[in-house]
Amino acid sequence: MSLLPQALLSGLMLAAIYSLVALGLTLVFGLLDIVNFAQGQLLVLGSYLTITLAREGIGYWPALAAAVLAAAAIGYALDASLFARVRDDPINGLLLSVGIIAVCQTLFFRGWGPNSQSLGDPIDIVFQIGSATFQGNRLAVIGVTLVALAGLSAFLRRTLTGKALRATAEQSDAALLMGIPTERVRHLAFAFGAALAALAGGLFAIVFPIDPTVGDSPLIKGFIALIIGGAGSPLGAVIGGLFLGMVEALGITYWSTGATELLEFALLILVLFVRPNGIIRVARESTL
Amino acid sequence: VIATLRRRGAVLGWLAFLAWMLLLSASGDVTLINVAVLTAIWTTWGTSFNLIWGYAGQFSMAQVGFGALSAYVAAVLVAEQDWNAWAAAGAGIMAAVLASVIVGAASLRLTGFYFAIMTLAFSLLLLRFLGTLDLAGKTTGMSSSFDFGTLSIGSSTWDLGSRSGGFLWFMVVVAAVALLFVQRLGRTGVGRALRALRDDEVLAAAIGAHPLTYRLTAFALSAVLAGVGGICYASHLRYITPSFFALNLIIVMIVLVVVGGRGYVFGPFLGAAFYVTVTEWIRIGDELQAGLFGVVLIGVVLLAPRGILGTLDVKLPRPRASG
Repeated sequence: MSLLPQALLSGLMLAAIYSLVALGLTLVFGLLDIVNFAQGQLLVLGSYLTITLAREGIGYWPALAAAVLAAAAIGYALDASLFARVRDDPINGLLLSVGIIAVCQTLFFRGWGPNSQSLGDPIDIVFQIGSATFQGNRLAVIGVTLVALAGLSAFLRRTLTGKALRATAEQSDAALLMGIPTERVRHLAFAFGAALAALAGGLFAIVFPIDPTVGDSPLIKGFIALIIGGAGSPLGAVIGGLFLGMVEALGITYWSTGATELLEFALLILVLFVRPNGIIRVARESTL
Repeated sequence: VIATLRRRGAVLGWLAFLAWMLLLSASGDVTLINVAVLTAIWTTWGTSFNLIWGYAGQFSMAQVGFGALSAYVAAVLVAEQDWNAWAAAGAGIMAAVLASVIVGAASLRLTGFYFAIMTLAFSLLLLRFLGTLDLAGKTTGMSSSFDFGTLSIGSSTWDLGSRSGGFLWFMVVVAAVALLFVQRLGRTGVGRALRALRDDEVLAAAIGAHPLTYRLTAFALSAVLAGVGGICYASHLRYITPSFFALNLIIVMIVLVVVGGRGYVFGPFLGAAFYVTVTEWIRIGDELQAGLFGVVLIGVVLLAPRGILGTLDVKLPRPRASG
């Protein structure tokens, strides 16, 4: 039996998760100049909230939606109460995000324990095409991500709030002079970043068991996707995520996990040497 | 009085450092000697971070990774090849320097954003790689008790591994060398160029300080100190697993340099003394510790982002301009 269809499906599923994380990072970095290292923790928060709510019996999809909304509110509050105070020096924002990681890790250990938790199997469908099987939960991750990406793209392009976000990213002083409440727009960007992370986390939980440190890997992969695609570009984040997900799935299937980690790091180094602005020309031109 | 204290800042730092070590070791208490040992190790390790971030202005999250790399290379060489501990440690440190040159050359040309990400990616991917490596015992880890032997001068001997004090003073000497190195470096042309680049890159570059060259040098030097710190830490623990060097430890590194005061020679020592006292001596909130330090970090960043020494430096009156 060929492993290829399975590997491709896993690759797309990983690509979906990495794209969502990278996109959240891009939004926050584009508007706030902050490298938000706590994005991985927000992802885990999304996973835990989804799992807990789904166990309450409200069903997986409502639980996911509630987790995303809660994360957005938390993101908004974090920016308004903490990050807004250190706008003058981006390094302090980075330090705050590191502090948040530590606080979250402790909360996760206290709240959900060190052992893995899983959702059971809310989407227990398997498609059989020829000799290849496709698990429904992986397809669901890919499908939801595509819908979310399309929604975000439409939001940024079509709505007034989306335009305000892009204007603030491009020229915040000018945006302020045009009457855009740039501070509130920044809080909103952070809320979107948190919501995207929580969405990735909620989806992650239908494929993988969740423990308090499970967010570290998607965080790093999100960053690598961001750099490979070209920092500051939403399209680049998605393309970088797609590329990285495929490399990882094929590498793990046909080679080894350890070697794949090294390969990904080597790719990152190579991209920085050869194309520090990212590998894709189109992406470079599609700023926020 | 304050002006004198200020001028004698370095002397005060050295006195505090020695007094801390002497008093704790004189107690003869196992816990307190442990506190002193860990303070010394974290001073060395934290100094490596202080060098690259406090002096060169580049926020590196690779220092823990460099330490892990050195410790693992040394441990594997000792276990598999029967290398002498000193030679194995040297090889481990070389590995860290090599890694720093590769990571630094790729990312130091770009903005600090790339450097921070690259260094974190290095640390975490290295751990995941080590976790899959048979040679290093995968996730269960491997022994790292290095035998550094005994030093004899005339009739007196110094067992560098003795837990009753020999190891402590070995670690203290290592930390003192690290502090002295950074203190001296700060006064040389390299140190001045690094600070100039940190404060105003364009201006510094215009007067001839090539940013990449100086920063890469600083990063490689910081990798040496990080490698030494990691090997000391592994030697103290005697057994290492990848999870010992996880994100938590990176956070510890950041917390202690931020709290002590970045860019000050004795900042890492002060931060280390604070951190080790809380975790190993008075042991506040065992399970909540990580979160506690997260709160401390957030609080310090919001209220006194320059840390203890930086805040004192700004708040205390300055001596009249004379030197």
